[in-house]
Amino acid sequence: MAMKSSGEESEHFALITRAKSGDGRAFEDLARREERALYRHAARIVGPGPDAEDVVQDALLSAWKSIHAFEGTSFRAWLFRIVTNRALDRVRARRRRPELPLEPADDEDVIWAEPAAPGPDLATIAASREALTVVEEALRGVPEEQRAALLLRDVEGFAYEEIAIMTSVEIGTVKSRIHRARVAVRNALVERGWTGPAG
Amino acid sequence: MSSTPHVRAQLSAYLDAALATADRNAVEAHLASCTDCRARLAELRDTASLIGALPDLAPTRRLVPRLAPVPVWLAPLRTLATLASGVSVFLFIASALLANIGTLSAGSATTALNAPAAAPAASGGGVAAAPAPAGGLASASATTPRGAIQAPSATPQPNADTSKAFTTASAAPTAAEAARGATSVPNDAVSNGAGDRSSHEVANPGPATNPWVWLVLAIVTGAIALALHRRLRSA
Repeated sequence: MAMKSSGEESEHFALITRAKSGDGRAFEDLARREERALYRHAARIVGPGPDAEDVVQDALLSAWKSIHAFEGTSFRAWLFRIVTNRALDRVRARRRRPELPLEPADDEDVIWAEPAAPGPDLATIAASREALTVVEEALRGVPEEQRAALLLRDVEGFAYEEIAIMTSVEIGTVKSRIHRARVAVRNALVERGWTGPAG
Repeated sequence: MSSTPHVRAQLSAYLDAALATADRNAVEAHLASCTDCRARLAELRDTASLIGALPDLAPTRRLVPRLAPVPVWLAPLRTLATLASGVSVFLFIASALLANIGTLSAGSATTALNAPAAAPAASGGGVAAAPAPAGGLASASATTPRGAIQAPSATPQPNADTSKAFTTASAAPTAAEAARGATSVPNDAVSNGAGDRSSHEVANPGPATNPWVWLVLAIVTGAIALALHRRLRSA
């Protein structure tokens, strides 16, 4: 997440104030700055394409309608909260039989895959497109609540406290979700022959 | 090997600086003596870096709703542009049809009209040329009655003269070419009673008589109407 200069920050707050007072153009300016990030986040939860675009569009319209209710300091976090919840709702609605989110009893139970044989380390595979494809594939196999938390942390750079507020769960749950999702991605890489930095 | 239990479950939170001070100290103490947990921590750090390096994804359309008020003049302007496009299409078709009708009547009218030029070349004298315009008028009147009405001074001539003018005109290619220009406005040519002058005027038709001008105008106004329509719909 890029740091803002004091000038940009004051301009940002001025836009928020104007948007809260009903200035549609100010809201458009604010939303346009996050449009792409919101889309990539939604796309990695519901899958890229029209569904993800609809999620973001609906979320932004909903954000505009409830702009008067925005009280926090981070407009970005507020938008991500709305988009994340919409995207998770969309995934749940797709299922024929809704499943209860499976939260682990203990993070010590997480299985860590072991490399079958010595392979390339991260420095070698990070530059390859294949590694990123493996990560994308592995993410798709992670339960969406865990995936959303991990993406909010590793891609968007939000703090655990912010993610807890955004997803309306305890901070311990956020901690667990991020850890499990990250280990799942790590395991997918290990299964492809990656031995880790120490390997 | 460390004597304390592994801290694998805490490694992600430790990596993200999300542990309370006491927990962080405990993890650090364990890491100092456990190579296995240090290796796991390094793996998680690199995994997080890879996730952060995933390629960006871009939407295919604008996702931010248009909330700024639409100018009041936009809707009337769209209607105006649509009408202008429709009228231009009509004018294009009309002018193209008029031009085609003129071309069809060329077969009879043009050859006769240009008889003054063709006849001398064929007969070798100015005597045969004199009655030709009259014959041309009679011939033109078959397809364009208005021409006949507008030329009351036209004197009917024997059929022999008319057919002679026709054959001589068709035999002279230069005359036929000159006549082609005159055919687009045969009425003018007839009413003026001067084939040479009228063919001169029609050789350079103005923009108002060129059908393609209307077509271009129709496309331009149509595109404007479409753009305005899309802007109004997205509002």
